[in-house]
Amino acid sequence: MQNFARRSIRRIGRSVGLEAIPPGESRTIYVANRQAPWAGTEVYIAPEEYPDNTITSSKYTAWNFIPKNLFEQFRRIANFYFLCVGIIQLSLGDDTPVSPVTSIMPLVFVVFVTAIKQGYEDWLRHKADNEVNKSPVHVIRQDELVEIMSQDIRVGDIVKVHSDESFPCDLVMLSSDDPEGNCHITTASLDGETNLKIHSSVPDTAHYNTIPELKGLYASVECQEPEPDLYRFVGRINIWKSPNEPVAVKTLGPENILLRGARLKNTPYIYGVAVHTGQETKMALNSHTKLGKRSVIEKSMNTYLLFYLFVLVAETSLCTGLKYWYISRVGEPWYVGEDPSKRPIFLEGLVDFLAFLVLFNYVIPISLYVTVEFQKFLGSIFISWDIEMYDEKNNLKAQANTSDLNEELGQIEYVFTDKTGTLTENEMCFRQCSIGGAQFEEYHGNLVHMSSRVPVSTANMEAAVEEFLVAIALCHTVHVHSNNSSANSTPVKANGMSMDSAASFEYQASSPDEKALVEAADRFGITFLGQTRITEGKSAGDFLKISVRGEEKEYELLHILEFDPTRKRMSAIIKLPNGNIRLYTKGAESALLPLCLTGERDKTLYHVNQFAEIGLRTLVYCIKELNEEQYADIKSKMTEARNALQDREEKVNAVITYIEKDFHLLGATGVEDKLQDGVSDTIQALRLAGVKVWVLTGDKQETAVNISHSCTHFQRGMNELYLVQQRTMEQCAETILQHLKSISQSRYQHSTTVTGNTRRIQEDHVTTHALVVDGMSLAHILTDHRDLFMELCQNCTAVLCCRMSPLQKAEVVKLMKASPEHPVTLAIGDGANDCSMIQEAHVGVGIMGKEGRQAVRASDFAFARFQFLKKLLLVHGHYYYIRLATLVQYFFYKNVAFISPQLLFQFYNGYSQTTLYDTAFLTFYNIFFTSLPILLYGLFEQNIKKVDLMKNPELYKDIAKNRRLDIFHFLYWTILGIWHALVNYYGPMYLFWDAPSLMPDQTMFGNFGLGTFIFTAVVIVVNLKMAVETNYWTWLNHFAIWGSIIVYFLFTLVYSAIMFGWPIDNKPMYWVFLQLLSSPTVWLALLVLVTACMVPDIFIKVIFKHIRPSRVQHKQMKMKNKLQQLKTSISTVSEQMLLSVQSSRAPSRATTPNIEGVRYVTRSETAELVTTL
Amino acid sequence: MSAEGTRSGDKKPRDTAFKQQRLPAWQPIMTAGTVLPAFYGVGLLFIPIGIGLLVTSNNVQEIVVDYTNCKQAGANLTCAEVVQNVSSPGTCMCQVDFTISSDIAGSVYMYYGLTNFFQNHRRYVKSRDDDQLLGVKQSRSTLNTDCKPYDGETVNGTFMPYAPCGAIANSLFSDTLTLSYGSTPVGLINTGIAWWTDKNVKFRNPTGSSLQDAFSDTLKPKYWQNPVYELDSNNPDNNGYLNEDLIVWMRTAAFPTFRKLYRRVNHTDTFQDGLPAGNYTLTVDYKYPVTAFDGTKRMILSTVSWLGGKNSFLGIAYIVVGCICLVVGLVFTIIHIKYGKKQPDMTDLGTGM
Repeated sequence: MQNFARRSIRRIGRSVGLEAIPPGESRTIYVANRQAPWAGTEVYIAPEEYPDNTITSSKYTAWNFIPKNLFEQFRRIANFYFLCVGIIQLSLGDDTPVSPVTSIMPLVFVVFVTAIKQGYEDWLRHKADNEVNKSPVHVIRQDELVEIMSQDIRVGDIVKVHSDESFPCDLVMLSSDDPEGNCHITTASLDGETNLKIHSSVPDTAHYNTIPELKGLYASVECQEPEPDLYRFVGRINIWKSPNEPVAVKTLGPENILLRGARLKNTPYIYGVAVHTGQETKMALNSHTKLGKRSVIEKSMNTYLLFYLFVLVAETSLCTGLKYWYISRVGEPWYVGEDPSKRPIFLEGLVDFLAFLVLFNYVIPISLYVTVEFQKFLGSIFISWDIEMYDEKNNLKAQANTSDLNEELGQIEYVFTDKTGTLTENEMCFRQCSIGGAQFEEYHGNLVHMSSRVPVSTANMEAAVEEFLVAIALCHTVHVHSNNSSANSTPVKANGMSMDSAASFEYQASSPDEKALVEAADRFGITFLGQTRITEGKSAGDFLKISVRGEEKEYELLHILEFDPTRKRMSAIIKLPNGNIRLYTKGAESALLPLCLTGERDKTLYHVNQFAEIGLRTLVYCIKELNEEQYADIKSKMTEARNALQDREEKVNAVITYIEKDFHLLGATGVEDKLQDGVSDTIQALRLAGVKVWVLTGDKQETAVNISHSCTHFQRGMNELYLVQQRTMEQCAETILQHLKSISQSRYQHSTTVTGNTRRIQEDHVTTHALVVDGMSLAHILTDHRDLFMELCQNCTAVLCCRMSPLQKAEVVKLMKASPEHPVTLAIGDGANDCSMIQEAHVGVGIMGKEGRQAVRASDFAFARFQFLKKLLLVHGHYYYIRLATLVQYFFYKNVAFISPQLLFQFYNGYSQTTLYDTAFLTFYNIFFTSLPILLYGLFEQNIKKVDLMKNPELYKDIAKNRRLDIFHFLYWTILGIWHALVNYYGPMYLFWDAPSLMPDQTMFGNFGLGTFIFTAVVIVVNLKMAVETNYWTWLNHFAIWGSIIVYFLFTLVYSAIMFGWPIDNKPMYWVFLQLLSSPTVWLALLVLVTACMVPDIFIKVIFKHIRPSRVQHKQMKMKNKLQQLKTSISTVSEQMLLSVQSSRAPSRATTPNIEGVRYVTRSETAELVTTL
Repeated sequence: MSAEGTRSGDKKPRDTAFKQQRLPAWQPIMTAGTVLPAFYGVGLLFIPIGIGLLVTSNNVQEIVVDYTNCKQAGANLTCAEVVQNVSSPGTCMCQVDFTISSDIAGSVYMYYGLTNFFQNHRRYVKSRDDDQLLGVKQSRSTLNTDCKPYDGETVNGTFMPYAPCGAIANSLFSDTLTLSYGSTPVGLINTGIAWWTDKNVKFRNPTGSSLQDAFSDTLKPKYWQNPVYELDSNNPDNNGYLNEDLIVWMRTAAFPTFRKLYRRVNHTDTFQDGLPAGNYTLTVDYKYPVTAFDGTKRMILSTVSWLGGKNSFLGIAYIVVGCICLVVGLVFTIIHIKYGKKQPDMTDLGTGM
């Protein structure tokens, strides 16, 4: 009752705004929703307060789909615009110049198509949801095991999960078949970590592992309200064991909770109590929808749209004005008759304005958005289909998490890349170590003294070496995963039989460094065999079993102080077989060396720096002996801190800092992180493409600089500038100014040596600068000096930021985004620490690496290898940019070409708003007669071959800065659109003006004939324009372009041969098209009009290609010339061969090398030859 | 989701031409060298075509007689002044003499031409009822409202639609033109001047025991002098909605200056070889007022070609476009010679198109 009252009061308080929701508010859950009969006051148990276990990723239901989807769609400005136009048309009644059908039908079509797409996507989500929600799970209800659907689980239910099943909701583990209450799980689908993890129940509930036992379990769980952090759980379980005993209170941590999405492994079953269900599970809280990113093109598109809206209003106002000027001059002619609707003059003006608006509204392309959406959607599927971005080794293909940014990949100016796991494999390999001041390296599986080259023998190992290796084998969180099903059986592994034993068990660790180290220790004779837990007797506890040179020893693991990034170290408190207690610690040298009191500090530091210089990752190992009292003290402090409900973390940290000090230094290790394949090639290509590459890493400066060198991020001859260890802002500013000065000096020196030679030479010989910044200095930069820093960066070819915190990574991206040029940025990374920068950058790319899936989930694109970035940007980015930019330009062009004759016609019909085109033409122009070619262009266009794009990264510069949508290209398209409109209007006008008959039988065409004629010319020209723009003609393009023209002809033939009144009244159009087609004059006129339209297009294209070619065109022509040479050389060679065969039986020797040469060339270019020929 | 997850199948994308965007494709690269033959070809093709068209058009003989201000016979008034009010037209007969200087061979067609007459005015264009013209008897509710204000009248409490309704029909061209060669009248045929499909499909008379009966519930349009079933007193089949003068008028012209086919010269008896040179008289029963909108009226006699009437636009267009193509071809030849062999300098890179 208390609880209920408290809740109620809190709720009331909250609702009246008295009490803010505290961040870590807790909830109390009664296991199986029951209370111990002997416990005090009765408690109100209300599982209904919490959501059920339904997961909903779908947006719509069958009932709300239509209204909700329509609402969503009409929030789009273009759809809303056409809705408005439709409403205007309807409200104009008889005064509408064109039927409302002309805007309503395309709108319905577009909305319908979009709704189908969105409905289908939602149906897939529903299916996936249902599969999860309806899946059977086992829970205990009324003390019996029943099977229910997953969605019916309520908070407090005891759930039974079997091996290889995934957990249906967040559970606090109660027990498993294991009497110690342990189980193994894999969290691969949550964070991508593939290793098995041990989770456990609190010991007090471990024996409640059968249904009869569970009947007697009375307990309650107090825990936090749901929060998204996967690795944090703070709670407490109260167990009422019997009326006589006091309530047992145990703390619950992350190791006690089984998260939805994780999977049970190697454990027959577990019981757990549901604490968070449905949308409150940590998995659901983590799958938040990302903020939409908008591409550069999309922004331009909206600018264009606004521009054309302005044009529309201007045209409309102009015509309305002219109409009144004209009427005031001549008045309405008698034959038209008085306007039956007599309106006041101001209303008449409004009606006229709206009527012109309706007439010209087609200048805004209705199907632009739906076409763009389809192009992007299908385009992103093509990216995931790319076999060159598929990683065979890990069976991972590329994925596009969003389809909105395909074209943005062609606009990247800055690439921010993580180092570990992105540039490198994140596959660690033990290389060297320093033990007691002596340096060793691994050589053919043996540990060898660096100086004497004497291998360390397993049998006769120095004490220091053994101690060091034992430390490696003990101080870690590695698990032994047996490939045999029984997980608990200790793996037996004889030393020296690593080949066989590798098959029987393997190490699994969340940190690849640890794994590499434990494996290395195994190779050198100290093998970690696994961890066992003994529950009974005096020797209860966790034991680490290691084999020291064949002899098995057991070390009792008392405590693990886990790794955290602020401490940069981890520790294990271990009781040695001889009863001594020792603290083993390993960590970063910067964190540990200052804490060491004894040991070879200087020599070790020297070695550590050496390791870092050759690009190794370093760890320092040290120990501290503890006596019983010290340990008891530590233990009590730990327990106290760990049981705290408030500020637990701070308290635990304080204790840890208290423990971890006064070490004895053992030595250090150097582990190599191999570079991924093709990294330096990719970085070079990006640089040639004009993309600035920055490496942002949390790693230390020396390692980072080394990796930068080995991946050619830093190149020989680059002037390295350091901006590190800056302790004050002033110092920082001073250093930056110094660097800037040195840069300008080097440039000055240089510019005196270059005397107006070609630019190319100048670029090649300029001294390039590389900048190294560390996190500490960056903190100063970010608070002040942003402009100075940006100036410095813009003068540097390569920038390396080391010692960065995840947040700083995002800050750097943000900083560059805000620089005056507003460059388009891309961030690529693999770890959770890269998520923030991935989300901050314009385009985020996730590497599906070993550090989990968080980066992939936060990203817009994801693939397995860094080198795929080259293809993603240079090929896909280039193509999709060109495709979409042309698509946008073409859409506005084709509507200008289409609707401008409509405007011109007004000058010749007394500004009376007569439509030039028939209703059907207005309706179908955008959706049937001109839509498919541009969509297919948007999917298949390749202005240059993929191979050439990959080989010539500088082609990427062609499209930089949204080149294809600049004012120049805009004018090109718009002016040609207007030209086409002028030709297609004035040509027919001169044919029809004071019309002599166009028919041999002297009959006449009227205004419908004129409109149909002009429309026919427009459809042909607009489709031919697409043909002129297409560089890559697959059969689909042929099909679509010629097909669109044919469809237009067939449609119009049928349309004008049958009379019907609904939905379009086509009687005025009856037989008009057939009559037109039977006129030879019309055909001749079409031919000359289409030619007149296309001549300037081709002229401009060719002239610019020769006089000011783009890089791509330059390349194209070069290839073409090469091909021609090739063709001629082939033909001359074959002629020579023919001649030589004819002249003598044996071909002369002289021609042979020639043929060889040709063959050599041919092989490389056969494909091109075939396609071009 | 889970089903997919456990089936650790091969996720390798299929290596097909479609999925890998390697569909076989034609990749034309337009350069001056490749397109110049096309320009020369088009130029050389178009110029002769244009000349041919121009010659054909010039062979068509055309006589235009503007009779807007012809004088009333026996009075000192122009007919235009007499016939000013469209709603109550007076009658005005006038004659215009003209000379044909050389023989006109072949079939001759007669047109009337109007200027400054906006048959393409929006309210005018739609002011008709196509169903009515298809022979459907319309009531007040079914009649196209666009016909207003020429939709009908209420007579003795019942609504009677005009037949045909609307502004187009109401403003039917009402002059009667006759022609004589000296004193010989030139035979003029008033059929075969409309589209076959209009005459046979799109325009139908309503049914009734007689034509007059078929139009029994209708009124003649406001400005008409005869009801629709009495448009052609000589040919009973050329009456009602099927009257070809009406059909021709109902096909609204695209521009304010237009001509419409009026008559075909009857070449069967007297004028078998066309119209001989000599003096002709155009006699006009002048009823149609055009001065109110500053219009003019013309009578046009024209021969035919396979292209239709006299129209030099097409020929000129072909010649101009052909010449432009040749010039472009020439420019491309120069470019090809100048740039074709040597590659343009990379420093000259532009934006391209």
